[in-house]
Amino acid sequence: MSKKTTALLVCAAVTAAMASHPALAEEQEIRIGALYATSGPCLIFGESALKGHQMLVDKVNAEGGIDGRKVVTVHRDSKCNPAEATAAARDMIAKDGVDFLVGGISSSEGQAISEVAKQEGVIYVASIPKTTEMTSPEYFHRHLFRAAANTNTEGKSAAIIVDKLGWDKVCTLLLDYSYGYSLDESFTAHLQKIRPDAQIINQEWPKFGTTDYTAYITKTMGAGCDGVFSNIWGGIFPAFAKQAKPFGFFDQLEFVSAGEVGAPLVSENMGKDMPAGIWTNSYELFYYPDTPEHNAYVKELKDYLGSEHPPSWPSTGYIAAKWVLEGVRAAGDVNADAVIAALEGLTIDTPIGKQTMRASDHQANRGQFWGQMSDSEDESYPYKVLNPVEYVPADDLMD
Amino acid sequence: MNKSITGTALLVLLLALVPLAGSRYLIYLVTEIQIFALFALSFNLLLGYGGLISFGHAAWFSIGAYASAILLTTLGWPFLLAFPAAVAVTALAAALIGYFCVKLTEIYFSMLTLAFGQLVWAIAFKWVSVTGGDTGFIGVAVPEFLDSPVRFFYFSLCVVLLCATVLWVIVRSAYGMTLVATRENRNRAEFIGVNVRRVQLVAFTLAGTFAGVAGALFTVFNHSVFVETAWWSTSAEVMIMSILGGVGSFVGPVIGAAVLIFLDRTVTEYTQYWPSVMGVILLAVLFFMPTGIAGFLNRRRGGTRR
Amino acid sequence: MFDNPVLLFIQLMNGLSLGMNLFIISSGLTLILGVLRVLNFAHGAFFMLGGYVCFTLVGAFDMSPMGFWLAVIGSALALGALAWIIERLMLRHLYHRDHLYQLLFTYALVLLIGDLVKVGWGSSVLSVSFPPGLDGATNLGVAYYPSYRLLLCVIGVLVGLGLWYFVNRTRAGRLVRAARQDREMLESLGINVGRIYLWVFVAGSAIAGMGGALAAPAIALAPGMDAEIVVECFIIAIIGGLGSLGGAFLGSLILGLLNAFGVLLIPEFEIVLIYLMMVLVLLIRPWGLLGKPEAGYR
Repeated sequence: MSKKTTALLVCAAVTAAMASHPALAEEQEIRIGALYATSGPCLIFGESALKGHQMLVDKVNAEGGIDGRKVVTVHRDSKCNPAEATAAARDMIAKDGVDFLVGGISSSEGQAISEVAKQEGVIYVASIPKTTEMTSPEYFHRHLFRAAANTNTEGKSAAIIVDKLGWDKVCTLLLDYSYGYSLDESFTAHLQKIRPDAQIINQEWPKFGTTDYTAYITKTMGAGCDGVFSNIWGGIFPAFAKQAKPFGFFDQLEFVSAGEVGAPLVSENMGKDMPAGIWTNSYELFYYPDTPEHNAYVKELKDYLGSEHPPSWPSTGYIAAKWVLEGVRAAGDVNADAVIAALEGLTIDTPIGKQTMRASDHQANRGQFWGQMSDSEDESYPYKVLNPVEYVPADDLMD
Repeated sequence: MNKSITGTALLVLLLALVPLAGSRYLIYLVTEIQIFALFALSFNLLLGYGGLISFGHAAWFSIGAYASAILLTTLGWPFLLAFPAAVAVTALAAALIGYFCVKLTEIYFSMLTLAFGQLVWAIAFKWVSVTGGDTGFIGVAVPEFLDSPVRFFYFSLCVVLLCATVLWVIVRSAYGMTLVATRENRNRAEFIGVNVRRVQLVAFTLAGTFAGVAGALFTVFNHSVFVETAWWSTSAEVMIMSILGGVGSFVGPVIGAAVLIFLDRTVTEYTQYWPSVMGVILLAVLFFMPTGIAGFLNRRRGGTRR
Repeated sequence: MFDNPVLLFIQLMNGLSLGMNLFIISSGLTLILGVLRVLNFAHGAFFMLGGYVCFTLVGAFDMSPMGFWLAVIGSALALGALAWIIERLMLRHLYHRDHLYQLLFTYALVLLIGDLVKVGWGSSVLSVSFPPGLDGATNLGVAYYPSYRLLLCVIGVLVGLGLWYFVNRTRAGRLVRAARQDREMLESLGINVGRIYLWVFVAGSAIAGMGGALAAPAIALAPGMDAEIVVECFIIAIIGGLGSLGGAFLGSLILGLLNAFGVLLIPEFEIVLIYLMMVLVLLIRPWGLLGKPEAGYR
């Protein structure tokens, strides 16, 4: 090895050492590490959720912080990749001295961040990952909290809709990864319970990242079912819908879709390609419900984003950050044990109503907005909306 | 030669002192660099010495990673047995697949390694009951004596140094010279009686084995394995590390791994456009530093060593 | 499913139309691979960029009846122009280097174009509507089938025929074939091989851009959509044979049909099967099903 090379390596090591002095977290600060993908296939969620997070943090800081403590957000791009999320989470704890982690989008990212939180003893509030696997006894640990609805809530509320629609022969079209598997489990079990006569007669598992769904579409249409339960989520639904429509798929079959296809942003981007009459869900709807608290949130979001029809994804980042901040407020401290104790059983106000963090498995009772896509009565937004909408509360559906 | 020894000793000493700096971040960063340095070193045995452009090197890294996770956790083997066993599994797989790969040359060799690499990814992705599929293998049973950043740092430092030394000895040996000869002129090597395929198969197996060691270390470091690691972009990354550092020198890939990982961690703090930064670095290396950082430094020094 | 011939027919059409869609994209890659011998990882990125350019142009032409088709041509021209710039400024300086450097160069393009799309078009999922009159289904006698996909089949065949005619029946095509076989020989005859390389790269990239534009109505545009398609294109090029147009046609059909019928027969293993097929072809016939073994290649 040459002198130069050695010198270079030494320089690099020294630079790294200097760059890496853990920011001395001031006693007064609440340091939150936000892991939202701003690249890779989940960035549509990540960018929005981060904005919701930042909006709340800005507001709290403008009001003087929590008990005089300023809130500092450190953001890292988790790149929609669990290995990156692992490294980023570790860096934020070791280098930036964050006391809390929020974020994660895909189930695998959620699991990865949760594992780091467990090793490091840092509280992690999952804002979007839904799979029940995360909170199963095998993986659950006391530093993990989930602000998102889990797949049980989503799958069971879908089963309730299916029961209402009166399907006897059911097809499923679920994505071939853990989100799809967990949904399948909860949906099937609950449907069997509330509608014993219903039968699941055909199941298709399109692989994630597929661009051509026609084979699954044709096979499902040939199966002779009354309706289809799917989780082809908002980001990829447009492709699926555009391929399915010319086959007459949505005319022939009723369709219940999980995966927040009813989010206004999806509908806005799809315009007239959004099929009418499908049942689907959303995290949040700027036009529902018409309560003062909700309207205040929507107005704030409109001003913050400068957008007349704000998307629903920011609410996920907003609510996760709110859990952290309210936990600190209740505990009067940023110490993990104190905040865990404070969060267990805590009830907070969110844009979608009051939420309680269950003590036993740290799952918030986040419900689901379900509704049927139809043309908007309000002419100011020229795309389809959920109408009628109903909020299915989570209380009996979380397990 | 003396200079190299002094330099290396200095570097090792410096590395051994890292945990004393008192920064956990630095410990994590350097541990990760060590692991990827070994990964890149193993890759460079193929590329730099054998002239074999593999586009599926991620396969060995991830087989080592999954094998150690499964042996440690699912089968509950003790670490001192599971770790070498995971490496042995990787070696076996590399020898088996290498046997087919070295039958082809040039672009076809690259394509076949890509195909095998993607096959490993597809199996890891679909075999959910064993690998955890897209969720990943979470919660690896890490032995207590490695369950601290500092202790794991020293463990991985020892393993990586040991492997690097073995690789160094290999490339300086008669076998290493023969491997270079097959790269320089395959036909001439054959004329003088070298069994080119066998030489290449040995290189392929060795490279796979050391990549497997790196993968197994990565598992213990992360306490988890993710299927994304097996995707072809990981193979591209290790290739970029090697080229960036310089494939013509033994330490080149180490430098490349260090620079790339340090930049990745640092740049992502400030911008979401890390891919662009990496793209620009890559272009700069391709057009202005074709021999990589190590080659660039050597040339500045006036050396002509390849 | 197999007791229902109509469904079977529709599934066949699904496979064929997907195959033709893939062929439109992969024919460009095959052309480049055959002549330049560059493993062009940027082909998927060019495809993606073509889709986005089409989105913008459709908006600009305001959906006049011919708007979509003008946008398709515009995308092809735009990507051809981009390829021209890339080739003249950068790629041509790498031809004499190991093919690893060319490969990494195209990978750098993948990274840069990925971010370019994010900056230029944002991160949300965009959608191009079907051209007027093609959003419905056509009666094929036995069944109705989506009109746009039928049209893609026709376009795929036309692209194939056009390329075949160009390569086999024109003087320029003869030069391209010669460049594929023996560059030095051609140079010694006083032919400017650099120009052939340039125009092959431009044409291949323009085809990728056109492919992206044509696919846009049937898929959704989102950053990252390039990662999958480029691997599929490689699989097709390998199975069919590097540089063989007929091979790319066959490879595309195989992949399309495997996609359609794999779902019926072996849904669990479809994805594993595709890579396994690639491995087998490389082992048994490295030059591909319809390719020719190269001189000096054992």
